[in-house]
Formats: sequence, C-alpha cells, structure tokens
Amino acid sequence: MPERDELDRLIDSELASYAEPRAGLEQRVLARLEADGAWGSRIFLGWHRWAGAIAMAIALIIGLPRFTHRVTVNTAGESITNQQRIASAKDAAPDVHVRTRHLPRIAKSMRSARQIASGSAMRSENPQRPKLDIFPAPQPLSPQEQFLAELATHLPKAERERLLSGYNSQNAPLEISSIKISPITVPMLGKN
Amino acid sequence: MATDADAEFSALVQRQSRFVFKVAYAVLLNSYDAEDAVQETFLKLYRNPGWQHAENERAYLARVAWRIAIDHKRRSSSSPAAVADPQALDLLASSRLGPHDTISEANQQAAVHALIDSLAEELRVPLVLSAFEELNSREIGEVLGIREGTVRTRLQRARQMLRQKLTSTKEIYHA
Repeated sequence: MPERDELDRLIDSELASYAEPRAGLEQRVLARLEADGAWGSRIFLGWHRWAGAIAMAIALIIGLPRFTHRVTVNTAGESITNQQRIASAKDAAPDVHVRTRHLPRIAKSMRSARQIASGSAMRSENPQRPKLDIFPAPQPLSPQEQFLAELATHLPKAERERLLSGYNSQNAPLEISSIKISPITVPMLGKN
Repeated sequence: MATDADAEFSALVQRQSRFVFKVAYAVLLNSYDAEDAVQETFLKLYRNPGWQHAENERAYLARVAWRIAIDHKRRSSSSPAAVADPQALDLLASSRLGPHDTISEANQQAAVHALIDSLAEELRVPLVLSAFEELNSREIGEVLGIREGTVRTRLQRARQMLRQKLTSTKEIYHA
C-alpha cells in the first residue's frame, strides 16, 4: 500500500520536527540557572552538607558521654525521695542550718527555700549530686533576711509571739464599714 | 567559577534540552509552558544529580520532564483544547498532502502538527517519545509508568488515528 507508506513517512518526518523550541533554549536554561543562584552552588552545597555532618558528629562525640552520664545520675537519683535529697543538701550546707534551726514559721518557709538554694549551689559545684526539681532556683539570704532570722532566733518567747501576732494581724481580712447613700433629691424648679 | 560538575551539567543541557522540551510540549501543547517545564526540569536535575547514575540518561530525563509537565498542567488553570485547529486542517487540505510538494511544505507541517496536537495525551506522549532518539516501547513504558504492551497499543492507535485524519482531510479536499 504505497499511500500508507507515504502517510507513514509523512507522519515520521513531521514527528521529527514536532515541538521545536525557539532558538537559544540551552542558553536560556543555563542563564535561568545562573539567575536563580543555583549555578555553582552545588559544590558549595556539597561542602555545606559535609560541614553540617562534621559539626553534628563533633556535637555527638562531646555531648553523648555527658548525656549518658546525666541519665545515669538521674536514674540513680529517682530512688531517693525529696526529703532524702533535702537532707543531703542540709549536710552539704551546715552553716545555714545552724542559724535557721529555731526560726518561727515565717523564717521556716524562707529556710526551706534557702536549703534548696544551698542544695542547688552544691549541685552545680558537684554535678554528681542528685538534681532537686525545685523552681525557681532559690537565692541565698539577703542581709535583711539574715538580720530578721537572727532577731527571731534570739528574741525572748514573749517578744516573738508579739511579733507573730503583729504579722497575723497584718494578714487579717480588711473590714470596711458599710456605706450609706441617701437617695438624690431633686430641688423644685422655680424655688430659689 | 565553572567547575567540572558545572561543565558536565552544561553539556547535559546542550545535549538534552530539545528532547526535554519535546516531552514537555507533548503534555502541555504550549511553547512557553513547555519551556518553563524545561527550566524546572534542569533546575531539579542540577540540584539532584541522579541523572549521572541513570542507566538510560534519556529515559531518566524524559521521566523527570514528563512528571514536571504533568504537575505544571495540573497547576495551570487553563488546559489546552485537544482538538485540531480548523485553520490548520484547511492548510492541510490546501497542501494537497504531497510529501514532495515543497511549495506547501510549511503549511503541511503546521497541519500535521495540529493533528498530532489533537490526539489524546495518552496517545500523543508515547508517539512523541517514540519519534525521538530511538526510545523503545519498554523505555517509554518506564517513563510513563505503563506496560510495554500498552505502549505498543497506544502507538498503533495514535498512528492509525493520524492516518485516518490525514486521509479524510485529503478526501474532503478532493471531493
């Protein structure tokens, strides 16, 4: 069938010239790569990847032993109760306990905070001690607080009670006397 | 600063741009969209140089380009109509369909191209891929993710439809 052959040849030849791009396509592709900032960045990207991998490896080498050590310490510390932890902290800071042993209630709350502070300080000095989970990290006694603690310790019992009663009265609820508001009277117009 | 890798990639662009364009055009039927797809294809290839390890470079590129063109087509709101341009058919008729007729060669070419455009995408893309650089049915199947037998069937159907259209156009002209 010669016509079919001709048609086939026609189709083949037209297919070969089908979808021809405009001249300079290659240059436009390369120019676009350059314009996008991609051209030449592959080497840089490769270097970047290596740098990232190396940095991560170094971080792992340094960080992993510390992390595993901390996990070990925490696991061991889990069996210790909070009281035991505070007790160990007390042992670590005997000077604070001596001064605050007989404080009244106000000073007691401060004392426990300071105990924790001393424990925290010791922990930071010695990372092998169990971690106390108290937040925020307590601060050491200020000079005013120390003075108050000394005062409360050395005052006679009667004086201490007087101070406490004064403190309690300060914390007593406020009493406000009832307010009496009389209704508004409108003056009669034309009278004055 | 041009490196060896850049020089190699530049050579790839020189070697395969036209082929990638044809693959993209077969899907998009628009020169500008096809060129966008070509740019996107080479940008992707530059960033992920998997083509260097591909067994068949051309088939690999065709697959990347085809996928990008498909995505491009999905993204674009207006899809081209898959019908032959009537003006092109008139040109074809007036060209008398003589393969040796050099006077009407340009008209004939435009008309046949319009007929190829009018084919359904599933027939057009394998036909275009088969026409360039001896991509065989198996490779076309790998590019399009279809079986080799399906490729052959589609190629046969595409050619058959083109022949029918060409013949009927010729008959209309002579009648």
